[in-house]
Amino acid sequence: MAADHPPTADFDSVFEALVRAHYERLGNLAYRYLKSDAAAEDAVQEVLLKIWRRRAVVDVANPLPYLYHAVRNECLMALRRRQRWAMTDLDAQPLESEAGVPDADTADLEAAIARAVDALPERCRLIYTMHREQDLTYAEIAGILGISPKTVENQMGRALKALRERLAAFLPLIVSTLAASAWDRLSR
Amino acid sequence: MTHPTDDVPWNTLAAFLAGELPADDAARVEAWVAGDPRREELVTFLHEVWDGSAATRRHYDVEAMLRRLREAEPLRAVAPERRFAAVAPRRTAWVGQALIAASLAGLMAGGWWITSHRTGASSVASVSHGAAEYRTPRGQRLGVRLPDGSSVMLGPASMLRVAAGYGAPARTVELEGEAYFEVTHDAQHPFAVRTAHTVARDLGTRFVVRAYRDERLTDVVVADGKVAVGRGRPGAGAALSPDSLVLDSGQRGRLTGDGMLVRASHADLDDYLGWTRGHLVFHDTPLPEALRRIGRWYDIDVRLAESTLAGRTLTAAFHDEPGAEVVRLVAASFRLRVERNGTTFVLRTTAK
Repeated sequence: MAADHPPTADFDSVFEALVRAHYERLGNLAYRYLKSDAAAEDAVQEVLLKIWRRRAVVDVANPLPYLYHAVRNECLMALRRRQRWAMTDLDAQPLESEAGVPDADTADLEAAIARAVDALPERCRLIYTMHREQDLTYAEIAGILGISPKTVENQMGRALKALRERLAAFLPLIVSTLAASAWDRLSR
Repeated sequence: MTHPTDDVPWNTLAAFLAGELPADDAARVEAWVAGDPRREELVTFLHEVWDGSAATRRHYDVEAMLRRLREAEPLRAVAPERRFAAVAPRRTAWVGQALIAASLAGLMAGGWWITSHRTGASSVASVSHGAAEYRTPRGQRLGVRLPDGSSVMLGPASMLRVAAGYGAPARTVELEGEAYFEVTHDAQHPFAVRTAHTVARDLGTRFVVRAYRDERLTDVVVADGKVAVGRGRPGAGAALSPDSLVLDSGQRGRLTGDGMLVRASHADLDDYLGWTRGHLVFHDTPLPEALRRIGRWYDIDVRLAESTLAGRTLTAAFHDEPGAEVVRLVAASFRLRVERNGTTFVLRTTAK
């Protein structure tokens, strides 16, 4: 919840600390929606500037729910604007050249993991990426989404199981790599 | 072969990987893993997946962001009283509203009026007495508060001159370029905007006047209330010509290049008012005019390589896209190629 905050001498340092603590994770959140670094940074900047200008500080002890809500809204607005534009000319080139580029090497585990994460059910993916990409704890995720930590735990378990199933083909590869390096160590 | 992972406690394993388990629970998981080589394999694999999911993390430069945020800071830091304390005749006020970044324009949209009212520390200049002249360079806007409480938002590359003796009795301002007015009605002190070729007299209202020298047309668009528009005549001050129009809200009065006053009953208000909220909106706008507006907005220069392109019209809305992106989007929609040289962009048809 944003609250009006009287201009204070330490507003700058409070704000700076807020930006330092959360900029990367908010950028990662925005990237999830916009799939472009520049657009993600713009969206976060927009939100931060609004806070800065209004001298309104989110509850300093617990700023994440407000920040997440605001960045998500900003991203949805940006997506709507893109869509509006796209409607004006159906032949327009795709807006994001970064998106939709096929992975050069489909055997690449990292790319496969990214695809598997994208394929998770929406809520499951949201929570999993909040943990893995945005570096939030179970408690923080629960606080932002207004759900119980137990639900976060269940969704994380679900994500892990789904990823294991989807990426099963890679298991022998990794295990054999590990076995080979173990053999190397033994034969030395 | 039975699957070694049929009875895997997935939630516990995820919490284990996440470091969310208390020490004794974590120790139990480790013992469970060590009890079967297939479990070890599985957990090794899950570790890879777990780490791999974080490897897609994007990295952003927080120092650069803090610098950008601080660049916005001087807008509020300088008190308007100090900057405009001595409003001398023909004084030129260059106000550093760093609106070059389009994303900041969006902020202005939400924050402009609010800022002026709420925090008292804003980029709104106030005219105290005497004459004053305000200029905005390309890429910038400026809010001006007039002594009677009326407000003006000056568009990019524009000039507003407030005559000495403003309000005694008439409230007359001169405009070159574009401005949005919110005028407090006062029949005793009629408000008038003079441009090179027109006079607009307010009857209590919000309206936009667009009168750039490099456009052949002068437009007056009414958001709210009534405005009378006439041709301006040398020496006639704020008097209206006999063929003047009274515009209602939603209407546009246009002085054409050949001196005709024309009324449009339904103007595309967003085209004219969008910029005050940080939006650039075009609706069937001739491409050369649209590119001039984009150029003024972003302080860039966008040209068409072939005159045959001048007949096209643009329908689009932009909000927080950077200038180069806007040019790219416009080019893409007409299937044009963009050549960039610094802040100059040339659009040309794709070679066959």
